[in-house]
Amino acid sequence: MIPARAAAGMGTLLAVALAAAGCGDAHPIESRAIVLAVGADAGRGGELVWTFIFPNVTASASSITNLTPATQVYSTHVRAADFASAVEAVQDRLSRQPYLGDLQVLVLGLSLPAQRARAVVADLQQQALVPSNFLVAASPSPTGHLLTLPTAQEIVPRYFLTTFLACHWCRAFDWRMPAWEWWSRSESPGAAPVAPVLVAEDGDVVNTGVAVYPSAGPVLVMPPDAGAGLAYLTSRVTRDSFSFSSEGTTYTVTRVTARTRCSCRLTGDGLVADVAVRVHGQLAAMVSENSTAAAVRARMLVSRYVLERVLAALAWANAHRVDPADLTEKAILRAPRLTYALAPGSEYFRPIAARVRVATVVETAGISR
Amino acid sequence: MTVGPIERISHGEFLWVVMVSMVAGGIYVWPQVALSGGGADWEWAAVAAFLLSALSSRAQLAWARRAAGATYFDRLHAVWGALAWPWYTVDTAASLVLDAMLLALYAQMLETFFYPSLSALPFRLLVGCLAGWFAAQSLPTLARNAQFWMPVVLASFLVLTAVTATQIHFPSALLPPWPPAPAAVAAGTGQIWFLWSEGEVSATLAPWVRGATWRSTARWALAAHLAQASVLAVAAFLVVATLGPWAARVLEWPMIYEFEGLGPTSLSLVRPNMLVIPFWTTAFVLYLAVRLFHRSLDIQSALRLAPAGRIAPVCAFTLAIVGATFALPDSSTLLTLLTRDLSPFLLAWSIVRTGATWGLAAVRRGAPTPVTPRP
Repeated sequence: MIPARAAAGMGTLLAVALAAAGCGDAHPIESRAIVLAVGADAGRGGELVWTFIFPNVTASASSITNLTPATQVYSTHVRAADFASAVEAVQDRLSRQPYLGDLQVLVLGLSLPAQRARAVVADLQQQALVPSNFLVAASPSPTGHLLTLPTAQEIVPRYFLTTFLACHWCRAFDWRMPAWEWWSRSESPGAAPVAPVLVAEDGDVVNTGVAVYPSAGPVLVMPPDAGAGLAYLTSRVTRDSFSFSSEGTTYTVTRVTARTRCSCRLTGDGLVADVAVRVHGQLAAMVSENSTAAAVRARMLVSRYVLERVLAALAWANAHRVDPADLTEKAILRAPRLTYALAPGSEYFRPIAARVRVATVVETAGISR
Repeated sequence: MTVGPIERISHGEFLWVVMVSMVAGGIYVWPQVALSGGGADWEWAAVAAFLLSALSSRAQLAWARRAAGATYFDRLHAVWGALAWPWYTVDTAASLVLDAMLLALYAQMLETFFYPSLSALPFRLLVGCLAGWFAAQSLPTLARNAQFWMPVVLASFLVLTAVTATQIHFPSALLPPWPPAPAAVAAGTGQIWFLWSEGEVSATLAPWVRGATWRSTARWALAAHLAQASVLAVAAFLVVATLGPWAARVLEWPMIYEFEGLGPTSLSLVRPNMLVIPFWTTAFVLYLAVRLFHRSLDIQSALRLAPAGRIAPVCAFTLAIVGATFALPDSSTLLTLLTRDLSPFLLAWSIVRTGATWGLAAVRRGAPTPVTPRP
């Protein structure tokens, strides 16, 4: 005979274990469709075209190597006004329950107006089940081209776009922005979220630039110089490199990184920014008699190169009345009363007048003198 | 069940019990409640609420010193006579409504984030009944549980904070405005007071601390307030400095959102947010348990129940809290009701009751009594 107290204790333990284990949520893998990536493009009549990417889970461990790149993942396209309806439509079409807990990438079609794109990210953020750290990218519409690119680089269950976006030192500029950061930027007046523009080219993914999402109007793609300047302004430079030819000498500077600090304040009708960029690079190859003089010369050239791009980015921002560098946000935050008077997601822009200082350190590397 | 004569606890256990009776019940809606309530002045409101709560706890111990009795109710009775009953009834009712609202919100949070296919029903029942079970234990058992689990809970909170703190972008978002706007500070203080509404736990439990004096009890109670204030400060800094004040204002459960997505998801630390379920639930269960315990203790002395008779009020209060959660509306309406109606009422009530009792006790010039009643 079990004592009543022990029975009550065991009963409680069992009830806690059953409820806390979340068994009510469990579905066998064959009745689930794990969503790895989602694409959103502009459709007709206010609807969006959604692309859902799933790994091919029918592959067994022994058959993985026999899967061709084209069959590693499969996709479904549906038309729906919002994300929840799109998920319903996918469920209907696949006869499986879409599982969103492993969403890794969201690709926004460039045909999508900026406001719609912001709404898509906010919509996904509203779903408690969708993790808030999936990565956001942009691509020329239709996004299906990029999302289903047959590539032998990754096999299931890994997804090539996740690997591409997550590698922060693989490219000159790290435009990686997880969804929570993208969404919180879009809620901040005076800030505009950005996304790398990815294009499928010869079976590979190429990052061709950066797209800026203002609170209204079309998505803006920054020209290369201004885009590079934005990377320097926002400390997103991880591995830049460039070559100069000056007075018959070629200077190659590699492994360039930058740290930027901005002190910004609002004035009567504008914004005054004091920007200090610290650049660090390595002089890899040069043809010169005097290496010290060459290093000094290279340092000057790098500083000028960075300065021109930063100024291009600021000129672009002023011309388009949008601030992807978050200078406006920093200035607003210095005025707490103004901060709380501005509603989340509202528009705020003041022309930026900046004083930019670039300090460069170039170390000599390489083996030739 | 081990209801029975009360045994004494140590100063350290008293600290943890008082700590868990505040803030732990509503930390998961922090700092959204402060941001939406106080606007730009939310930091001033948070500081004001902390100062008021420390002051209110000190005032309770100050008047209790002038009134003879073994429990909070006995001392209230010594000051007010039969009038103690209406005072105490309102106190109890408001505190039960607060606990029911927080339980409903917590169950809703668990359902939304962790168990979307289940309803909130099992969580209300489980958390409520677990709290009732703990509250029915003896004071040393309850206090030992608080003393063991609260450091673990705080450590898990610090781990989550540390992995999320790498994402801090806007420390300048924490700049408070100068000068503070008194009306906004007052409104904000009213809206977040429910976090600090400990419901006289320190005054109720002070007599059961070994070797206590009024001075030492007040010091340990203040330490508990300071500890919880630092938890709130860390949480607010984390949320506002990572998401910015605008996004933090929009989210209903900002801390859970933070812990869910901002930490690392690769390497050896996979989904640290799962720590939220066991440890926050532990904190919440202990919060409810301590409050049920001290209510039942007072009722026991008020009704002159036998030591084992405390089980009846514990069961009645647990049933009332769990039952009330079924009558409560959805979480956003509930949050509005909690912050706009109940919380300012609790603040006003606390000021009136503590002030009047303190004044009356001072007028009557009762002789100072020892904190611990003679056996």
